[in-house]
Amino acid sequence: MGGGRSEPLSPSDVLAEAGPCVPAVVSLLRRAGREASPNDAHAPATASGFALIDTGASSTSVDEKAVQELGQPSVDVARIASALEPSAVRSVYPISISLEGLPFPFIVPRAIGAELRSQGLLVLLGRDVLQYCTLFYNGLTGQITLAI
Amino acid sequence: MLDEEIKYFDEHWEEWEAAHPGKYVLIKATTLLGFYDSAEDAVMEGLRRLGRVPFLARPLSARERVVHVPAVALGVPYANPQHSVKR
Repeated sequence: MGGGRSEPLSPSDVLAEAGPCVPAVVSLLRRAGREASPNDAHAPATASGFALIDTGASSTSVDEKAVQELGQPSVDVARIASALEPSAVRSVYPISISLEGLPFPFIVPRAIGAELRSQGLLVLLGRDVLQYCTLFYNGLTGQITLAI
Repeated sequence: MLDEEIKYFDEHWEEWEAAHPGKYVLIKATTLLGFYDSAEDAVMEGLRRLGRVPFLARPLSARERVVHVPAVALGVPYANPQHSVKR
């Protein structure tokens, strides 16, 4: 270690290494017609982090700890299909996801709870959201464009 | 969590699916609160009527209760491309 010169990564290398990530804010769905409960006053209103665009995922996933800290109980469980092991069961949470630069949030009524924070992620953006988007991945320039 | 709701669902879902194909059901404990056209409708109605407490908002279609998220199934959102891709 030491003495070596570190080369800055090109945008293309950064995109290849980190994947297509966008800043994201997760919040709870608003309850029409109800007053806030006492628990709401102590819970943070939003969680911020990065969303990795995951075209291989049928459903969007959210960091489970983050959504629990917001005070949202799960509304179902879902089975995660896997070719390698018996399918696992994960909790399902209703959330809203705002992506930087997009004009309005996505309502995701069935986001899968998963351990993502250790990977530096808040959200894996799956095809349930991407079906409403246009995505350009330009690996040569290291740029992505996500539009709705 | 949701054990009571899921047990109640399992006891009734076949008859519900036959009568309300493609719908989403909303359940609190052993009370059926209704059938809805979308997951969003079921969740929003649950939040409106019950607040932020546990309730079950579930598709009647068994197919919709299975998801494919390889990164979560394998626990590896980031594979190391240096060892799997050559340029």
